[in-house]
Amino acid sequence: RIVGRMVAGNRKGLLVPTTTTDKELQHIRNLLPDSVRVQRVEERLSALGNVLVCNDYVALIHPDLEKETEEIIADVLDVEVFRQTIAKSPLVGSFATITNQGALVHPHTSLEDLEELASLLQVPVVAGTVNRGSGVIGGGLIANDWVAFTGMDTTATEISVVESIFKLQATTSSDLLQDIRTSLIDTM
Amino acid sequence: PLKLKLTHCPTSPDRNSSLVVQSKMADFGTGKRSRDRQEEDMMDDSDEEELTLDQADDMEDVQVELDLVDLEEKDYHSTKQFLLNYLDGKVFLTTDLADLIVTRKEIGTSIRVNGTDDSYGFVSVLNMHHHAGVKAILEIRNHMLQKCADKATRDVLVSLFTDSSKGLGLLLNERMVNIPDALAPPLHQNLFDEIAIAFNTEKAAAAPGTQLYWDIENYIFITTIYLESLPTRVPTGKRNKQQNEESLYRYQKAEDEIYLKHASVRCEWAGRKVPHAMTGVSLTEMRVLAVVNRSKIPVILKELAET
Repeated sequence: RIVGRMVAGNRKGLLVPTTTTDKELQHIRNLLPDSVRVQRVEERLSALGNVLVCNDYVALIHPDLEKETEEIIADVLDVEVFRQTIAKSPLVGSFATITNQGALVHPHTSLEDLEELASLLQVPVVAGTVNRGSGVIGGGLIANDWVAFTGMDTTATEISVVESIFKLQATTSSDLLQDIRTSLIDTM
Repeated sequence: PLKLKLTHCPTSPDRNSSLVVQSKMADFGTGKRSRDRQEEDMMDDSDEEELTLDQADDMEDVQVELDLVDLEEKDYHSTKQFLLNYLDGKVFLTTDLADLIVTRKEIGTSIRVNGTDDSYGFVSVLNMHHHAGVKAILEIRNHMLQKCADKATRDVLVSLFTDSSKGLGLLLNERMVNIPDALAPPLHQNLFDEIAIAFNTEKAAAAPGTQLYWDIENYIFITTIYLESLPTRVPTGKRNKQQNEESLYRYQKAEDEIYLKHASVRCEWAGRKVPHAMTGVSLTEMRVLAVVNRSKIPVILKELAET
């Protein structure tokens, strides 16, 4: 019933669990544009929102997911799939939120893990909290390339971290210029 | 027999007071109490109080140690949880209210089980005039005015809300149902001691003439009590009816009875019906709004200490 935890998807597709009824599946297919492939996944770990986290290019999955499920994910969502844990927990979907711009993960993620994730995801990764100190990022934050929603308990500091990692502040041309300048200086 | 040991540590200006209550919780609310009490003086070193409760022997004893400690950031979530039903199920900005409570450093106490971070209750006071702009406070005000059926009482409430020369403190006192009532006297005594200290500190530091946060004239609060349903009976006379009414209230928190006795304003509205845990008798949950003037606080604390 808590849909966010049951499904996972990106621009290209949506994966729904075994427990989805045919009627529900049909309804979802009708609602979404044809470009989005909707696929039901026969998997023991049925809370896909908790075991899978992805953006449009990369997906991280629970280490115990079936090989078949991994192939379906790679096919339907058109992503590169990696089996990974976050802060020693296999529930990658619960402890991380990722978009095409960045990723926010559980606060106890070690520095080595952060670096590894950054190299896998090819986006900046930061460890932080939402909902006033909660490490369950996936359960407290939902984000895409333009907007993010987070729980009422979230403090201003946490919101500023979310805004910066997912690049959600309004950027003016001077900011872009600043970004270009700093990256040029870095490469030289 | 149950043994309850209280050790009172002196309240220092930077409020490092904590009281340790050790209790064996078995059956709640029944049994006699015998007390052996010493005169409590704040300035002295630790005093000891011993209370013995005689209880039925057939229940299992659970050893629990409860601490009264200052409210801090980690109490945020549990405080918010306790406040969720403050407006009878109406959704309001509990986040802001909980934030105000846990960030208030001068006063406020959390009831914690010894050694853990779990808060089993809390008590705090917020000055409603100083926080008049905060949405949660506004929502509480409106709810109070809305629920009060009697126009005269409503007018009194309106004057309390608008007259900012007389500080109005929102007293928030919530805890889990099975916390022993013996905790209430030190809990409330501590609260008002902290307020007195905060008031003196503020007065010393502030410019003369400014309206002090801790200069609180009246305390307003909402609490839950239970009304036992009477079997249908013909009222035989005014005196008879009055006697029956008084004996019908059941107080979940012992201090409520004493506070309500000294309230200058009182307003109640009915909630849902619940069966009594022990007897199965149907009780009606009553939400009571009351205002107590600061002059009555010493009397209340004295009566509370004597129960």
